[in-house]
Parts: sequence; structure tokens; C-alpha cells
Amino acid sequence: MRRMKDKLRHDLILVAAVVLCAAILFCVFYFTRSEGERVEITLNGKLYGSYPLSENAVVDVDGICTVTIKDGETFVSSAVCRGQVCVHHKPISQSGESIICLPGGVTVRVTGKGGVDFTV
Amino acid sequence: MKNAKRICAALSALIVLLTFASCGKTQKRYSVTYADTFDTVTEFSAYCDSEAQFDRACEALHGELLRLHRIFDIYNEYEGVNNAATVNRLAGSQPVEVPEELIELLGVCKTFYGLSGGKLDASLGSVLSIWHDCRESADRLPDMESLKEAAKHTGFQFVKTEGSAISFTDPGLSLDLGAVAKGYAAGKAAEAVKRTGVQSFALDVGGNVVTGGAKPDGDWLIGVTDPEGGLYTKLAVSGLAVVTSGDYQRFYELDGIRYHHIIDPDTLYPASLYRSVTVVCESSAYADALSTALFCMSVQDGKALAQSYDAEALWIKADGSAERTAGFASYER
Repeated sequence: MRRMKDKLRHDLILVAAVVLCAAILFCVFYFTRSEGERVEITLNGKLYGSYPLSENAVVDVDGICTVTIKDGETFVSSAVCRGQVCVHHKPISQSGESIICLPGGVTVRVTGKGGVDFTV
Repeated sequence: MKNAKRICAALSALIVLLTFASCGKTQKRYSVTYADTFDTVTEFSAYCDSEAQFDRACEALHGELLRLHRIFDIYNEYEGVNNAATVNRLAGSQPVEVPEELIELLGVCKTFYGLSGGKLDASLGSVLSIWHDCRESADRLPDMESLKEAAKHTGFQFVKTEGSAISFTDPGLSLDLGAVAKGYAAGKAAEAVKRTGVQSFALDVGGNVVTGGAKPDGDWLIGVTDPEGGLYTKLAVSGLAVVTSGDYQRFYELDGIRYHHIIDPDTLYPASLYRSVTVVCESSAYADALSTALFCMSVQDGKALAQSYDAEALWIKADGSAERTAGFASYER
């Protein structure tokens, strides 16, 4: 009887240990899975530059427009085109969001895991 | 000691299990961006076994988009093909033989012209070209008399198709396929991708999203833009098209007033009922046509039209409130 109880106790310890390990591994994978959001700028379909969203920066895209990264958001702060649609676009911060400057062929996109794949 | 051995054994098994689980995911995600078709940016993502497989899919996709861009272009003509620009130049005086895709797209336009009570009007080219010029210069509004004069030369009753030839019975008429061409082309491009054997993919032709089979970890997640900034909602879809027509996509501002690109054929001015309309349905061409038509229609009429195409729709109004068809929420996450 005592041996049975001991065996049960040991089994429970074993199960608890496995669950604990699984939980630790889950946390490690979950909290380290993303390298953080980045701002990817493409010019005429080709990658112009990739910048961390967490670091403030001002990027001059070939004299066509200026992309500003500030306080975890990014926006087109100026552009040489007449329409200025991209300049009027609200700042973006979530993975999958993008701002497009059609006349200049510039795309500003926030990338990273956990966001949307595309935005309409 | 015995317990320690057991724990070590269990941990080893767990590690082996995790290793094999991660090895099972052999497909990798690849992405590419194009900026040379339909006056917009195209983004394509797919899960492929190899970069070579992805390259083949890209070649098929880009080739199809370039081919259709040339056929539907209303601004430029190309050697060896009678396209929409050729039709606009010649169809008032003679029938013009065109590729079958142009006939098919015109058929879609004609159907939606009737179903939407003329709100989706691809024969509105004469009016839209005036707005286009004003948007390009961004320093003036169209003269209402000019718009009314141009509007006299619109209407699908003046567009005739016979076999593969198009003619206009009104020489002043011109086509503008902007409301449907991108959606139609995105659908055809998706078919071209599937023919290469790639099944798990999504492409975005300037806000016209077409999704193929699901990603390895589930549905594709499509964000619907909040006109006031950020995302209004997220949609989980696979094997469906998602298209939004919004007043924030193409516009210009004059004296603090925004004039966008979706013109109501009845008022000849930008439609002002909603900030945006998003449509989810199986056909990319229909989703594109519906989103434009619904943008100019009452919600009640729009819901009836959407229902007839098994489409779901979301209307975002100026005050931030929204209307949905009955099944739209089932896609929201």
C-alpha cells in the first residue's frame, strides 16, 4: 500500500515537472518570438531600408519623401508630390499597416510577428 | 535517483518532441513587392518549399498583372494589343477587336451597372477624367457645367459588344475601368499563382486582397483600416477576397475640404455617405465592384446587393459607427 502511495506521489512529481518545463519553454518561445516591429521602406518594389520602430529616426527616401519614426509610430512627414495623400495618412504602428506614396513608388510598412498580414 | 532518471527521460522526450515538431514546418514564408502595375503597389506573400518555387509563382503573378495592366490601361496604348485606351480612341467611330479579358471585364461592369442602378458606372470616363485632372493639379475644383456636359456622354446603353469587338454609339463616351480592373486582375493573378502549385498565399493589389489557402498556422489576417487611423477591425479569411473602398485612399484637399476619387454618377461629386466600405466574397472582381457600388448606395440597398453575391460587407460612417451584413462578424477577430 505504501509502495503504491509512493509511486503515485512520484508520478505526480513527474507530471508536475513536465508541466513546469512545458510552461517555461512556452514562456521562452512566446516572449522571445518577436524581434520587435520594424519599419520597412520600399522604393519601386525594392527594399530601401529597414528600421526599428522603437528608435526615433528621420529617413529621406531618395528625395521623394521623408519618413519619420517617432515614439513607436511612423508617418510620412513630407513628400514632393502634389496630392500629399501619404502625408495626410495617419501615423501607423501596428504590424501589417502601411502607407503608400503612389506617385513616388514608396511603401512604408510596419512588420513584425503578431500583426495582420495585409491591410485594406 | 530513480526519480531523477525518470525526470531526465521525460525532459529528453519533450525536447525531442519539440525538435521534431519544429522540423515538420518545412514551408517558409516569402514576400515580394511590385510597383509597376495598375498605378499602385502589389505585395505578395506565400509559403513555399523553396525560393525557386516562390520565384516561379512570382513570375506567373507578375506576368499576369503586367499583361492585364496593358489591356485595361486607359492612359497608354501598347504595340500588339487593342486595349481600353485604344477602345476609348476608336470605338466611337468603328468596332475595335479586343482581348477576351476586356470583354469579360466589361460584362462584369455592365451587370453591376444594372444591379446598382447605375452607381457603378465604367462608362463614366468623361466625368472621371475631369476629376482626375483636378486631382493631379490639386489646385482647383471641376466646373459643374463641364461635369454635366461630360455626363451626357455616359451610360452603358451606348456601349455595344459583338463577339470580341467593342463599339460606342456615342463618340463622346469613354471607359474608366478603375473601379473593377484591379480586383479582376488580382483574381486572375491568384489563379496564375495556383497553377504553379503554390496554394498558401495572399496578394494585395493596392488594397484588393486575394487569399489562397490558409497559412500553416491558420487563416490570413487582414486589417481593415480605420479612416481615423489604426485598424478598425481584423478579418480572418482564406480562399476569399477582401476589398475596401475608402475616402482616404485617393484624394486631394482644397480649402480644408477633402475631395476623394469615388464619384457618385448622380451628383457627379465624391460620394459622401460613408468613410469606407469593405466587402468580403469569393470573387475578387465582384468584391472590387461591390465595394465601389455599395459606397454610393444606401445600406439597405447595399445589403440586398451584397446578399445576391453571397458577399459580406462593413460600412464605416463619418461618426465612426458601422453597419454590417449579417455574416460579416463571423470573419472578425
